[in-house]
Amino acid sequence: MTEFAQILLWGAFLCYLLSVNLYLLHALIRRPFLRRGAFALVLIGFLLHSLCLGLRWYLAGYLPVTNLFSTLFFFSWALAAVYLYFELRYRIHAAGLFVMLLNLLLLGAALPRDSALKPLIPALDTPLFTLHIAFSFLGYAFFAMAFSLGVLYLFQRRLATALLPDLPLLRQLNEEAIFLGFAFFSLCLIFGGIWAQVAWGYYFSWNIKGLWSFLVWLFYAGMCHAKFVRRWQGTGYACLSILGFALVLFTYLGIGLLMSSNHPLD
Amino acid sequence: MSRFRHPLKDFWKLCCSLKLAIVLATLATLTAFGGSLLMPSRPWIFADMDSVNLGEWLARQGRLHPGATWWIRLYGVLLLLLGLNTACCIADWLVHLRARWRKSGEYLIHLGFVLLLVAYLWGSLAGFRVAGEALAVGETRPVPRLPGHYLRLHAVEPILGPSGRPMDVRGDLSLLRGETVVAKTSVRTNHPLIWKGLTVLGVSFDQRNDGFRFNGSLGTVELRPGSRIPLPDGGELRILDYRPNDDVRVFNPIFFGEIRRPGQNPEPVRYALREGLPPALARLGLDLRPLAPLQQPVSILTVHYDPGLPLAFGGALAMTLGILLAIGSFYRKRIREDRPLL
Ligand code: HEM
Repeated sequence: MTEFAQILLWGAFLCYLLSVNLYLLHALIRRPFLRRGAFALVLIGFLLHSLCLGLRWYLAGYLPVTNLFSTLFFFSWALAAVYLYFELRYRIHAAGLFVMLLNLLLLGAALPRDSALKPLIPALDTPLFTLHIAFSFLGYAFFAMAFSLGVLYLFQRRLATALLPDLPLLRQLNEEAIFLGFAFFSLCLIFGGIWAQVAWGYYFSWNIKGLWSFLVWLFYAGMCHAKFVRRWQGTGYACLSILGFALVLFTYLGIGLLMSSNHPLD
Repeated sequence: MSRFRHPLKDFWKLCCSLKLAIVLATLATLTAFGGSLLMPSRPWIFADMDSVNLGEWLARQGRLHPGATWWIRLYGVLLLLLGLNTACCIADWLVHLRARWRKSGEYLIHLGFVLLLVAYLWGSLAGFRVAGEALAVGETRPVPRLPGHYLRLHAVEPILGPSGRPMDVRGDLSLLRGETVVAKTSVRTNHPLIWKGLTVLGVSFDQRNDGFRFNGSLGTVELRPGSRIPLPDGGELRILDYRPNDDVRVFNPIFFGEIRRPGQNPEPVRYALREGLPPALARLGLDLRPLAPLQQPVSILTVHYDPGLPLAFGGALAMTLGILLAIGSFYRKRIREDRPLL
């Protein structure tokens, strides 16, 4: 990776780090300028992050999402984008602390890893790959957002603090994150299926990653319905969001790193 | 009286029930989560699952390892029940459809899921997968297990990267039904030949010894199946078949052919190169000295047939459209406060 891209990457990381600190400070001493400063830093960080992603895309000639560094980097970018969507649309303010902390962990986990851009092998040289991966991480980012909102819902139920959005709003945002995550993840599976058909001659592969991805999809399809069942609304939904994200993390990281599959990471 | 009508109605209500859908989806998910944990630790059972379709695989491995594979059958049954549940749900919606086009996105997602399930079931029962089909340039061969269909290879060549590294193989391939070409594609990675439920992938490239070059009284001649060589006595040597190996030896090239002369019955000829010229040719005073084997480029193909493929594609299309519409209707429902409240 070029030096300039490295500078952008570290710049984004630093902005996110500072913004988490400001959000934390805001949670302690509750000054609006701290919250605004934190949000401005997220915006600047996201801009640098996007520039870095664009530059890497340009240098590689393809959307670089082929190894652990680049997927964590892209996951973090998608999560920042999703957070910005919710912040700009619903002004969730202090809720940003938890999401940006998660985002910082993702980008922080990427930093020490190999960021070299390698030539694309012919198997990955198709727009179906780009669509499959982009929708996958967009879906994951919404599931991560739903996880954060679920955790915040449980906090808010105990603390009833003015720092966080009220319970009905948190619940509504959680449902929205799950629905959008499900929608994008469905597109990820559809494009992945078409790609598998042209690459291997079948659209569903019986390997553990393929199977678990379908199960994660089924789980979130179930969640799209659970909100219509009174008993699962609110707290139940928040707990399901947390459980769902554990499944996502295992499907993305656990299988890629611990088991041999046709979706290796690094 | 009404007591007799209720059980049917109740049964239909159960078939369309959202709670049943959640229960079935949960059971299916738990079954497959649990069962799939066996997959990495038992590669001798599960590693080749994709080499044949699910029906064939289950018939073979299910009989050999019932203890490790029963969960796949249970998972399949639960998913099918979920599919039926979804189909009933759609039917119920359709019956009660009154200017509810604003929910067409949701309908399409559900329809897409049912179509995909049916397509997968169909493909798993009636499809097949064959690997390692070698097809030489110029050769036309029947598609295995699909009577009346043939594959013809026109050319095959490796694709080299900028540094000269072999990157891929391209094969120009036609699919014929009877005598008619129904599809023609340059097959390479991510570009298979797809026609209806048939997918042909070019996986590799090889060479096959399909004849020999000779030198002698006729000059330099190449003999391979299909060759016709004029003989000094006005007859013609026709090569019908060639085998580089016999049953015993790895390399014992043998030609099978016939000599045709006007007004006479064809005279069979068998020319095993290790044994020397057969009497029928030696009698003509011919001298045919083997020079070198002839190599023909060969494409190694994988042939998959899935009759449910067009239906699966329809399901994927319905679901994609449904998702795009449902994203819009999700927000419209929000604006109308048409969403579940506590
Ligand atoms: C795996 C199969 C299924 C998938 C992927 C699926 C997906 C979805 C999605 C994405 C929505 C939209 C949710 C929203 O507006 O937030 C939805 C709504 C709904 N689904 Fe399903 N569903 C499935 C099976 C079923 C089944 C079996 C039933 C019926 C028993 C059902 C009944 C409903 C109902 C009643 C709604 C609400 C529609 C409305 O009024 O807004 N679904 N489904």
